[in-house]
Amino acid sequence: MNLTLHVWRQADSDARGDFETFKISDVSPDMSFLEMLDVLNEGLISEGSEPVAFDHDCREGICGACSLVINGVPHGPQKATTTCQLYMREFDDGQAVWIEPWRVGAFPVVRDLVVDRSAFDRILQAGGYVSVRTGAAPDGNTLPVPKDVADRAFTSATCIGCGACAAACPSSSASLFVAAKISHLGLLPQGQVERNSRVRMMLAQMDGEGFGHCSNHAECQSACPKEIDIGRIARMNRDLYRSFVRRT
Amino acid sequence: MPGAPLLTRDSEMPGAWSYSVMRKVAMAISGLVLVAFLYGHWAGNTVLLSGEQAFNDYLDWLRNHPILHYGVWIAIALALLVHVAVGPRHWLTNRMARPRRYRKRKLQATTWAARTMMASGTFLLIFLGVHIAHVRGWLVFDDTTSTFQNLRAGFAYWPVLTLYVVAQVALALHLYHGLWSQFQTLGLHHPRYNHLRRPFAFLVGAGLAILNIGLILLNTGAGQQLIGSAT
Ligand code: FES
Repeated sequence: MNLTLHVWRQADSDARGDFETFKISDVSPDMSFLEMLDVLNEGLISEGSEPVAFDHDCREGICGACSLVINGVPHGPQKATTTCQLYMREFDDGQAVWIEPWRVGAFPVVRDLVVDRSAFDRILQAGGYVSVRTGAAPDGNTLPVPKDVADRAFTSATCIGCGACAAACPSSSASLFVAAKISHLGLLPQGQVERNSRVRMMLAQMDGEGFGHCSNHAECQSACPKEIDIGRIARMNRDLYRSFVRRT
Repeated sequence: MPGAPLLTRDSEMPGAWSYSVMRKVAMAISGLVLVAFLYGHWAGNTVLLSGEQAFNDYLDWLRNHPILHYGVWIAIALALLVHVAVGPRHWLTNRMARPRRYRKRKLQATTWAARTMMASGTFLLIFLGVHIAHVRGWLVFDDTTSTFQNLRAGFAYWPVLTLYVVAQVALALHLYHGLWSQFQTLGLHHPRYNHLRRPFAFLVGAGLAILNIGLILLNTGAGQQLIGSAT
């Protein structure tokens, strides 16, 4: 199949940047989206031009590094799928494909399609952990956790921190990410010790990073490759209110 | 690289009102206060249909109950102040949080009502100014000093009537998002009841608009004729 690609090019975070158009032919429908970009880059390198910079690591949908807004949707048209797991068969022959980076002020563009998501790391450092006294590793099953609670914690834990939620949010809010992390730890017995400080510190850090404020558009849950739902955000809010009235 | 300095200690935990989430709570609660007032406002104003004497008696009754009268007055003034302080502030922050817009954008979940909150809110605020001027008699459509006559005279004038009706549509739109959003913000989320949240927002918002439009229309010449022929 043949495609017209409109790719965002930007030399560094201070550059203005603009779209560059490429015609690419003989794309196999069985290629992943990133493999298609690899082919594009091969061509660019062989003709002596700069390849397009884009983020990727595991290419199996678990690391959260790949981050492209494809035709206006973070991670592209396929629901519940990261860019690296998106296949070219989802596109039509001759289609125009617009590729943009996450556009969130708190994620500055490093180069082309690569953005700096350290803001998420700082939010995690602010409270996204549990303190455990080390010693011999305890047996995982000695701490009883009800099945439904474990399931809910696990669903929240599937967040790969890709940032699609903030990229999709009309308000550029990071609420779904923060809420997923808070539910992931806060539902489990190990997470109770820091339950209050976690929500307080993470939310304060989130506000300080320059993200927007959740306006309940629910775009995040549509964009999330792990289909984490906005119920997590409601729970995070409850956790915050709880932190003002209960000590732990 | 930009980035906020990392907060490290519990003692550095900010107070409640520094949280954007808490400002949203203020937004939700003030909104609910205003909606409750508007239902009461409608119920009180049905007295308009009983004629000028009944309406004046109602105004006197309000004046003779200063605690109720001024209590409500202070509550809605405060609610309005909070709503107007937080809404535009968050709207502005949200715009600045995306310094560069997307060239292509495909929204998948949000509603038109949600994306026009700032516009519908601003319009409602302007309408409120006109409405107060109308009721207070700063905007005169009749040469008497009677509030009742001035209200009816306003409704008889089509630009005023249109403004009132359009404002009700804007109100329904604003509430369709606001009343749903309020559940999420306040943390009212439960798998068993979630499916009721949208219909609630629709019914309470549209219901208020329809009741108000109905009352306004019944106070026009055509409405009065309709009532006359029915009785
Ligand atoms: S490259 Fe790891 S999730 Fe896509």
